Amino acid sequence: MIGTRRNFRSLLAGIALVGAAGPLASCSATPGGKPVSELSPEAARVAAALQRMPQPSRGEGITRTFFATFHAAGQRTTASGVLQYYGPRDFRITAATELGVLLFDGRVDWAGVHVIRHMSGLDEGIVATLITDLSRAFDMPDDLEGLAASNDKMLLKRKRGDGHTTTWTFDRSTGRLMRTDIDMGFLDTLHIEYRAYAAQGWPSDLYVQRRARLYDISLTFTKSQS
Amino acid sequence: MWIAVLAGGLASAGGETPPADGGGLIALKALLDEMRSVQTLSTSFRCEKRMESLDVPLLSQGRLLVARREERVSMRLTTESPYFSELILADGKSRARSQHEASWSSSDQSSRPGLTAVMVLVAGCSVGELGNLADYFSVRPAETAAAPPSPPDPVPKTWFVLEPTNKDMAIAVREVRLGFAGPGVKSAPGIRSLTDAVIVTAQGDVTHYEFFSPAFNAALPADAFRPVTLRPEGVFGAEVSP
Repeated sequence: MIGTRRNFRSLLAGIALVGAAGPLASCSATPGGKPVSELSPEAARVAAALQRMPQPSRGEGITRTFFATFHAAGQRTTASGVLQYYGPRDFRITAATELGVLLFDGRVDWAGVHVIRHMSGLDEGIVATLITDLSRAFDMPDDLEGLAASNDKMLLKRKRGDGHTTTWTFDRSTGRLMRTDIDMGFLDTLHIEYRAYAAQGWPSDLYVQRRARLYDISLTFTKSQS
Repeated sequence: MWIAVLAGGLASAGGETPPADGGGLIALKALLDEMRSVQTLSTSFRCEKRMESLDVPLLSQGRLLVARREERVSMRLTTESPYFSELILADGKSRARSQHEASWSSSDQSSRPGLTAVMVLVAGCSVGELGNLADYFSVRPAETAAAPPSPPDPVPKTWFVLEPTNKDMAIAVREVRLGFAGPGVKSAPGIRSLTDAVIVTAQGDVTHYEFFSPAFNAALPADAFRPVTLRPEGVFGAEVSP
C-alpha cells in the first residue's frame, strides 16, 4: 500500500552514502564546499516504515481478505470481502454482507473508479465515492520533502495533483503512518486512520471517515493470501 | 449441518413468483414436527461464501444459539473467526455488534423484513418451528444440494428447495436449499437436525452454512439473547450499554 517504494529505497541508500561520506569529507574537505545535509533519524524511520508497505512486484497482485463495518446515513451493515491490490491506483475490491448478498464490486485503474456490481437499492454513486475514498488510503507521499516535527508526531503536508491538500501524520518514534487527512472541499475532510499494523509492517486496521458524506468505515484485513 | 441464511438488503420490484408447492411444504412441516422436542440449540457453524467475482471463497465460523418458548424463537448468531460479529433476534428486536463497535445497534425486526425473515427461517428450522416460512417461500423436495459437501458427507440427508414467493425477497434470492440429517445421526442421536443451508442469490453468489457439533436442549445462560458480550468460555459478561 505504498505508491513509490523505489523512492524510499533511494532515500535510504542516500542516507547510508552520506553517512559513509562523512569521515572521508573530514579528511579531504573541498575548500569552500558545504556539507550535505543528512536526514534526521525520525525522517529515516518514516522512510523505513513507508518502505515496508506492501508493494506488488512484476504485476502480481496482493490479495487480502477483510471484514468491515459500515455506518452510512444512519444505517449500519457489516461485510466481508477481498482486496486484490496491484497498486494505489490499480486494485479491485469486493464486499458481501454477512449473509452473502453482494454489497459492491469495484475496480480502480488508470481510468478511474468502475463499479462492476452493487447491491440492488444501493446507489452506484455512493459506491463509487466509497471506493474512491478508500483508494486514498493507499496514496503515500512521493518523498519526504517538507517533513516537519511536532511533539510526538511528524507531519507532511502536500497539495496533490487533483488540487486536494493531503496531510500525513507519522508517529515520531516508530515512523509509521498514523493518519491521513485530505481536504476535499469546504467543511469536507476525508479522515483516514491506520490503527494497527501487521508484523510485516502493513496496515491491518483502517478507519475511514467523511462526515460531510455521513459515513465511516472500519476495516480489518484478516489475512494475506499471496 | 448446513444452515441457509438469506441476506437482506432488498429492493422492491415486480416479477412473477412460482406458486406454493403444497406437497413440499407438507413434507417439510412433517419433518420439522419430528424436531418439536428441541427447545434449545447450541451449535457451531462454518460458512463459505462463493462470489461470482472472486477466485477464493470467504470463510468464517462461529456459533449459533437458538431457544424456543411456545412459538417464539430467539437466536444469537456469533461469528468468531476470522472476525467477530454478533446478531441477536429476540423480543421483536434486532441487535448487532461487530468488533469495530463499542456498543450494540438496535432496531425493530419489522424495519428489516428481509434480514429478519431469513434469520427467523434459520432459527425456526433448527428447532422444528415452521413459523411463517410459507409466507415467503414455496417448498419442494430436492434430491441433492446445489453445492455438494466437501468432503463427501456419509450422513443421509433430506433436502428441500425453497423459492421465494415474496417479490422483495425474489429480487435478491434465487433459492435456498435446506438439508436435514435423519434421526439417529451420531452427532444428534434420536433427533433430526438441520445440517445444511445453501443460499443462491439472484446474482449467482452462493453462501453455504454448515452446522456441526450441536447440543440440543442444553441450558443456555439466562441472558443469552440480551446484548451482552459473549466471552470465549461461554460465560456472558457485564452488559454493554446499548
